[in-house]
Amino acid sequence: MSKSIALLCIQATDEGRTIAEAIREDNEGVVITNKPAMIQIEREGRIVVNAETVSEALGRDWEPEELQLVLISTGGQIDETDDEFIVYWNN
Amino acid sequence: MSVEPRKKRLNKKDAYKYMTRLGWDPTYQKEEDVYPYLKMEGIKVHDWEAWEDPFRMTMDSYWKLQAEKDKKLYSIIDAFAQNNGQKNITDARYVNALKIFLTAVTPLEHKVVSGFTNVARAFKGEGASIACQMQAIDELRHYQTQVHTISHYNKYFDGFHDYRTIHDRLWYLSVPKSFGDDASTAGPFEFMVSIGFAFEFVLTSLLFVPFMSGAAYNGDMATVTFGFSAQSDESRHMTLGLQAVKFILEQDADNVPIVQEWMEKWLWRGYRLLSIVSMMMDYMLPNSPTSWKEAVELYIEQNGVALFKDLEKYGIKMPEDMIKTIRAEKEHLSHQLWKTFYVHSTAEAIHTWLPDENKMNWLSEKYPNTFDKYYRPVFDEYKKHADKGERYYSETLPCLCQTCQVPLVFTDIEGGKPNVFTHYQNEYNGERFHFCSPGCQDIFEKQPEKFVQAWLPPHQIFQGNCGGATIPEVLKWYKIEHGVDNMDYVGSPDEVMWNKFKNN
Repeated sequence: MSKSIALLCIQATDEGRTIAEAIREDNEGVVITNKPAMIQIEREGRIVVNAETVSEALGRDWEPEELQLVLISTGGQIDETDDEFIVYWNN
Repeated sequence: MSVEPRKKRLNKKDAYKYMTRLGWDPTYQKEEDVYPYLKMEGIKVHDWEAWEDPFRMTMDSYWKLQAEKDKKLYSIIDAFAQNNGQKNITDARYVNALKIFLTAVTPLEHKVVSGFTNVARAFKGEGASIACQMQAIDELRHYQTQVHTISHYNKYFDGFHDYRTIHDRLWYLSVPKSFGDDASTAGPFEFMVSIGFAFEFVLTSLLFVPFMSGAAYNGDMATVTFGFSAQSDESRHMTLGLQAVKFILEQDADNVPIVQEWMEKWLWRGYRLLSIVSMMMDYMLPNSPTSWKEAVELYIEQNGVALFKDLEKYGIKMPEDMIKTIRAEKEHLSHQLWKTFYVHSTAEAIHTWLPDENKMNWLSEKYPNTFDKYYRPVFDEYKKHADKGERYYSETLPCLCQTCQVPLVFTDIEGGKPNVFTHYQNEYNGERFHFCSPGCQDIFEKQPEKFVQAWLPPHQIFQGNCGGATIPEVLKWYKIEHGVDNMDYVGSPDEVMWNKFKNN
């Protein structure tokens, strides 16, 4: 049986777009859809936002908690560490 | 371009622990006197330390992030106001969706400020208490951003002038009002399941995301901004709600059936609360990015079902019947509600109108099984009357469901008769009560002493408690100016003002 689909929606700002591209790099099979003012990110099981990848993409230090500045909605449970922000289902 | 390696610091888990675990067990007062509300709902907690906040927010990160969000938000709202952003919305009809949203939701945001403050005081664990206190301040933030938005639109459009009075008195606004009253009068654990979990986790996206995308599609920058900015706080709220539920379920097996019952009550109440969003999405946005049906498929059928699969390991059962009903109703709900609002437009603080040909073709496309068969003919009939100068206005008010307070407009969809009205009835202590569904009837039966106290606007009008026996007297009591705030968009002062805007 396939896993549930984790969902992450972020604002379609300059920073949001860059973060979405970093997510695309690290998450094989991720589906990214552009909606009005919003970037919708879906993937089976889990989506991992890696602080190092995002920092590299932005050209500055970026902490996982900064995701909150562009976050709109999530579908899944959340785990935030010093290095990653993860949205996942456990089923 | 290379970046400096990220600095090492005290890890987040430990930093959070040192800054938040500052509580103690009371020694010279009894614990049940210091925390008097913890046992009354039958919920058993053995170890509050098991409550984890995945965001691990401390005050320094809270202020930093919230200040950043507010700076951005108010810059945009200022720019919107300075540049007369309201002139760039697709059409003034759109603003009526905003009138509903802001008069329904703004007072609820305010209500949950005290709701979360109360719960923060009631809970013993610091993790839980701090997250609830932060949520209370977030809700105060949301309330204020929405009042600022009301303030801007009130300068140009009717229906915004007294959101507090109409929220307390109007028939369609008693749906959100009664939802908030029900939650606020529950114990702390039920409050967490009702607002923190059912509303904030399961249903919030169904309310905010399509509506805010709709606002973006229709040029309403102010609403997109406060909506999405509030949503970033919502991710913390959603997490708090889910965490609360997981915590309660893990603490004791005896909690499972209590939580199951609360989940079913509040998911059903929440779904009925959001039914008005269906008509806002399908009928009130000149440009509709998503249909209600599509939103239900993503946020309930995909996300909601995934969530319940996760909760199965705790002993929670997916409310199959409820999901079945939601799926059955998804192709009918918006149409049934819009035609109700269309005919009762005299007693509303919004304008309504007939869908034009473009909109009806969009509806045919999005609802291939239902729109042309059941609902286009209804609007065609209303158009015949309107074209003759006899735009139809009902002279009565609908009977409401005793529990959810939505008008009894529902039909026997699951019985295969979507064009036959149906409702449910109970007798209790010699009085008859009416319900829209088995879901609402069930809720009443479990707490009859609570729901017999419901203040139902149409019933109150007929009992003489709403300013008088005539429509003009009631409208005056509602603080609705007849011919200004109500009735069809065509011929309204909003329309006159809008045409002036666009021609200058």
